[in-house]
Amino acid sequence: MEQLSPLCRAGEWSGGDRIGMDGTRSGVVAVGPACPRVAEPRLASNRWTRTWGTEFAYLGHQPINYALGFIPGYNAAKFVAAQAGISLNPVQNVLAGKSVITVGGPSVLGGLNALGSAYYAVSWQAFVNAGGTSLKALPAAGAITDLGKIASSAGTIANVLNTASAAFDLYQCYQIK
Amino acid sequence: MRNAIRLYCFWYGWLGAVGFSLWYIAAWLGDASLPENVWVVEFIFLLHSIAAIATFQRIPSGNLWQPVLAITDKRIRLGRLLIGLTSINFLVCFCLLGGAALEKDVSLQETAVYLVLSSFLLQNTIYIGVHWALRPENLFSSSLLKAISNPIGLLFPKR
Repeated sequence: MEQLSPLCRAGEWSGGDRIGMDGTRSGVVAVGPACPRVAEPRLASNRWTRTWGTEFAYLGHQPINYALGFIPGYNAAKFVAAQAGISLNPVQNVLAGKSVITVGGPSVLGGLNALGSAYYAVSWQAFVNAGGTSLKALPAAGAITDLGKIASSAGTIANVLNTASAAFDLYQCYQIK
Repeated sequence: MRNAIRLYCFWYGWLGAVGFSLWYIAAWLGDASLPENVWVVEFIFLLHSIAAIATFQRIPSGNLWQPVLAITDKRIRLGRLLIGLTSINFLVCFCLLGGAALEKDVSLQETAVYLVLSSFLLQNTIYIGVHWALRPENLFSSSLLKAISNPIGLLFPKR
């Protein structure tokens, strides 16, 4: 497993910010040199074909974040939590906050994703308040109101953005190995 | 087009479940590995994401899709059982990863990452397969579907 050099600046190593949602971490101390984004030498594993160290662990982290992003409102909640310095990255948290990779992911994707997610939630609720209804109550597509269509479109855009940022992160993960 | 999407997701779910089951078994045996080429991973991710976006389509009305299989009580029980078992399996693997992290057992962490990945993708594909085979309206309660369709909506008072 890759070890963090003691000369590295604390705080600069907190990665996993796949779509710029983790915000600025508290406790960042700008003392000493920043960690280079160059893979350090690792011992070859006699068991696994890949020994990426912490970057490898990121592969356990990324798909779960991707799937959680399909829960309406999750990315919006994550975005808000990140502003308060709270990380909603389950695998990263389980790994004791150990950083995985410093992904310079496109923050704009994260923001748009959160916006789409929140817009979906609000318009969905407006749709329900406007006549709406349990999921089983609507008999056919023709019964969907304009609000419902807007909610659906916003939700789909959020899902596509979630996918795009996950694809970007996968690529980044392989580039840094 | 709609029928093609339906069948694609159905078959992706079940064939993917077979593939990820093999990967999961390999993870337990210590033989799991990842593709060397990022584009192989991206291609698999593309196949998965097409199914995921169709499956988790955010639409505030239900029942626009027909189930691929005929609905029977036995199939519904089996579908729920499969989703439940694979979900529990994933949670166990996730706890194993947490345990490995607490123990600072690097070797076990590597094993656990593969287990988390494979069990998670297995759970995902099983869900996708069951979702399109039987449709969630037949699997879950209306209140659960409403809650999961818009968790933020739970925070708003109903008029």
